[in-house]
Amino acid sequence: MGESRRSFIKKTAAGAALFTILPRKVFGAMGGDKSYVAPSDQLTRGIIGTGGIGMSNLHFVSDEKCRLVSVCDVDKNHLDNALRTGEAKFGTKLQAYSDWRDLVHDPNVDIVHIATPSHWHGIMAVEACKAGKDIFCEKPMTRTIGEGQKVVEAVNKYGRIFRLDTWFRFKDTFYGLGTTVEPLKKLVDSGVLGWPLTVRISGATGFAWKFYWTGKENLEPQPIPKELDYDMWLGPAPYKPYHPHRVHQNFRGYWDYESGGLGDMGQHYIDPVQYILGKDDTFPVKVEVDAPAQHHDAVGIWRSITYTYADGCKIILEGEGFESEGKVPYIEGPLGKVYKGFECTIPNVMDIINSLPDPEPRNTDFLECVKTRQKFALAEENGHHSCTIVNLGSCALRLGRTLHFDPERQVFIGDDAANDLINQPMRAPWGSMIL
Amino acid sequence: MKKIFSAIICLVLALSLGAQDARQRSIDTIVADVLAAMPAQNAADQATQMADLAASAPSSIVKVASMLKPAAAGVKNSAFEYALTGVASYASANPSVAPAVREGLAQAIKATDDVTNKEFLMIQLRRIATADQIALFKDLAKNPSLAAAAVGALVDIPGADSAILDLVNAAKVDKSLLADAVSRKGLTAAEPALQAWAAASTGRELRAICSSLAKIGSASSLDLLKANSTADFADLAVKLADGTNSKVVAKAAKALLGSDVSAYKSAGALAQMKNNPLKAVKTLSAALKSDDVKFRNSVLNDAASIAGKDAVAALAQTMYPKLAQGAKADVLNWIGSNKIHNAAPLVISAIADGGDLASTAIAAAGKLGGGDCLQAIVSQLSGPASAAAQTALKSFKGDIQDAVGAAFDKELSAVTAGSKDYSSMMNIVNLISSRKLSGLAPRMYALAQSSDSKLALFGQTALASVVGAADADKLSGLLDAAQGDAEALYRNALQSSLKTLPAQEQFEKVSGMIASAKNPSRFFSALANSGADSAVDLLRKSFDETGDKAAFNALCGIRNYKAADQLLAIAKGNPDLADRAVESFTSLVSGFEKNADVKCGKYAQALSLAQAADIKSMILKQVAALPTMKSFLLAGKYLDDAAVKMTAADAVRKIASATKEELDYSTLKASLEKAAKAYTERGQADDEYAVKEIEKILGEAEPSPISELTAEEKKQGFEMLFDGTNLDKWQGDKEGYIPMNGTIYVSANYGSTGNL
Repeated sequence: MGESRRSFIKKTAAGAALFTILPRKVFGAMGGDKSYVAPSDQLTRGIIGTGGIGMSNLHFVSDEKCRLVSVCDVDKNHLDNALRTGEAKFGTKLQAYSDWRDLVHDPNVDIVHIATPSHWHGIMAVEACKAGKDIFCEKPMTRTIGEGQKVVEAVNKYGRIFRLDTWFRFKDTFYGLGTTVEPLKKLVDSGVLGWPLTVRISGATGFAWKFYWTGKENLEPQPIPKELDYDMWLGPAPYKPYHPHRVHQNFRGYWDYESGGLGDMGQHYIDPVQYILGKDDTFPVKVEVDAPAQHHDAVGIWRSITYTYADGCKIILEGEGFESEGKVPYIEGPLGKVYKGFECTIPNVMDIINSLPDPEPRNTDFLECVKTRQKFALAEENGHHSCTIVNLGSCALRLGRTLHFDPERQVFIGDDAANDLINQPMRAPWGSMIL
Repeated sequence: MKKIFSAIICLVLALSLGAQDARQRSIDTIVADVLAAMPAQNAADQATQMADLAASAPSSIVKVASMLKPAAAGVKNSAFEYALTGVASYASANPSVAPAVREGLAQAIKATDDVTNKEFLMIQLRRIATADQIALFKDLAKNPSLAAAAVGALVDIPGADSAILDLVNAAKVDKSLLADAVSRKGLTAAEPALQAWAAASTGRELRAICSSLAKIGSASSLDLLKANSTADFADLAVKLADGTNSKVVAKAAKALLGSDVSAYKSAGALAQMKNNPLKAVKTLSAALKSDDVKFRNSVLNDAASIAGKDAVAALAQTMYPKLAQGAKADVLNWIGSNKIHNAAPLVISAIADGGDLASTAIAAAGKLGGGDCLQAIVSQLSGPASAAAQTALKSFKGDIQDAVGAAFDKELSAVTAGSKDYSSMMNIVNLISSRKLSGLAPRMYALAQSSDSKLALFGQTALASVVGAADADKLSGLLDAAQGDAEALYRNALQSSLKTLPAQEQFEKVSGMIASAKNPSRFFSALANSGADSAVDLLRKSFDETGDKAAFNALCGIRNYKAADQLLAIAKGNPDLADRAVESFTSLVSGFEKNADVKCGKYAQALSLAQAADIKSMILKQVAALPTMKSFLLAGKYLDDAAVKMTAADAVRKIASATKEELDYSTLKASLEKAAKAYTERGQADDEYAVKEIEKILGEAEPSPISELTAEEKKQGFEMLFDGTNLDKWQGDKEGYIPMNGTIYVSANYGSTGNL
């Protein structure tokens, strides 16, 4: 009964859905046969960081197209867990490393999957490029704007394939919008909303900023657990006495490693907006923050962060608990608005959208990209752009003032203290690896 | 002279403002005031406080810094940290106060013993340091625990090059740290020292030295790097290649090209091309013959940036016929993603060649666009690359209707002649449908009525995408007479044709069709689609009179709030239809009901009638979107229902986080703890987030502990008037005052003036 009921609703709601389903049912799957994988075509992957995300069902996988061959972690418990789980799940023994450079230089690894806290991402990605590996990197791409520039440079210089791991710009229903991004992109491209546009990413439009990722002040130094190589965990970050709240699940609450909910969710939420607005090749020129003064170590909360592009387009983030009251649009233009749930003030909006050609096709199969050396849909360049939006926000928060950014040179205008945050100090020897 | 003059001004300012501010406060008072305001709640407050602190620098800063204690249990440094970070930030934007702030921080660094606090102060000073602080940081670099912060500061300060070189020559500071600083500052003068260190270094230190030499080294470092680190050797070779056709670089490039690691080979090619740009084309032509796909693509892109896209395009076109399949694909992909329009003839001929590369060429042509490419792609709609052609045309910019129409006609005659399978036809019709090529509607009608059942199915399916309001009557006849699958497809098409008309007009048209139809029930869903009030009445009537499931189904699909009550009544009277009815009921309530409490009450009714777990979950998800106390209590009831407890857990968590209403703490705690337990037991990737969120909500909601009187106070005869739960000991008008969660609330309805 469940099936027929759902298909009835689909039929009445959207005739289009039927089309792709019915002929398939009648004639079977179409298209070229790509299911056979020759052993020489099989790719291999190593994961650095076997904590939460590295061990998730999404990523701790191994199949005939891409075999997981090695894992690395600075926490012995994490590493042991990965080996045990790997043996149980795939029936093979994974190669284990405690120094990530050994994994990066392992000749059996084709793809390096970076699943560490973000203060490591830039260095590992650059080193993997040098070692001739392709890269699958978790979000946020890098902790600083400077590290992002270095990753872009290295990927190009060494001809690597890079994928940043968020996906809403090319698949899946996009949070509060209840639709994938493509129809929104077509709508915006059609010009019916007018220009410039303001996009509001807020609880009021279906996005939560997860303010439980805040840090604690006045941490009392604690003994370092035996299983953890804390010095390696810190890596390029300044040395600070150990406290369990700094590492593993809670690291996002400290500026040295990430930037709280903004760092965690920012690229998920903002990257599709950058795509919709067609801003993959530029940056905002101004960022304004409304927030309490931030602690130098522990990430705090904020009320709003507002980005402005040179053409007047804006992206406004509203902090958890500080959302606009009432019904506010997700996208607002001079001629029309789009609300949560893809509710739009333009009549017959779906007809307008359906009458437009699809956006240019993009490469959304990472393994295929690795084989044919094509850029992935979300790669180093557009990934660096959306991550920079996140990082512009954290720079403005840490300084508590409005910052002006030069999108050509990628530097702040007339603010030395802000420019110091573009390339932050790194502990040796890690700094020179990414230069 | 100017410098001295401004220094005097600053000193005067510091003395006059610092010792006694406008409000005649002493340094201690100013510091106390600033610290009490930390952390400032907004930028304006912060600026005011920091202006006060900076105006009384350096002594105010020394004073605050002296309050920093070594981190330990119970030590709270954060107010001091906020103030010191804040004042450095303030000074970085207000140059007039910066000298006094720098002086304060410099004095504080000297006076502080604890290493962590000292480093914290150094980081603050570093943000605003000038050449005057070079000596201080150079001295601090001698302390191994502070060397990283000190050398880092020297890197940031303009004019500190010679200080860094002094440290390099003295070689008493950690070598990897210095190597790092040398490469950041590009200090080529340090090369001999680094080369000497490399001979005696290993491990991390050697890696740092090699990385640094790759950045600042000359040709004399090439051999050293070749022996120790191929990646850095490659980096340096590429860096040294500057178009002067150097023999050393040519030799290094050749060595790299001989590597079996594709990244090093690519770097070798890049060095070779940069070293002698005239040879770029030659390097590329060699690379295109390689069987290493990574190498080929790297060199294609690098050659384009060195020799220009036109030169690469010209070479690629000349070489194309002789290239292996893999290299041909690379060239086609490169032409497409770089939009090399003048290479369109090559792409078009590759399409005509067919074979394995046709799909790649079609994708490239799609990116290039233009009339020639359109024709070439359309010609493949009926070939083995039909699927690729369809994909490319879905996003092809411009008018494709006539070209696709011609392709359709050609394919139709081939299929009806029996010479082909149906897959290309399916792709063409799919394309017509997804691009809404309404000019091809007559062809779709003809196809829909074809005697070949498969072709008919294609046409019937596509109709919905190409019809308009004028087609309604024609489609009505087709629907009434349809057989099998065609019924659903014509219904779809009819609904699509009606959808632009106003509701009442739709209703009138469809009820007219019903009156004259042989199969009236086929029109019920079109009736429901109108959303008109009269459609609700007519459908309910049909269901009551005939028990026709089609009428019930249509009623479930109607977007009119009037249908909600009808559906609820049907759910109560027909248990076998209850789930279906409450599902639609809930969807209507969610979309139309404005009053949160009424909404919650309706969801409660729906939940009590729902039977299947997925329906209950669906309703609970709607409950979760209501941030009220009532919805919290409703969702909480389902935490013990094993089939829907995760949805209930999501609901209570979301409501507790979003609500602005006051929830009773013990109820809140009981439900959220149950939810947290459910998340922990399930243990999926995001569940940890959920548990953290719950802990945070509970932490914030926890009532502050009721204070107790000390023995001393009791002896003096004091008595507690409020125990957190009642107002028994209070006097006056207690109405409008509500004791809850250990706090006394004043009802907003009662007014704001207290009279307890």
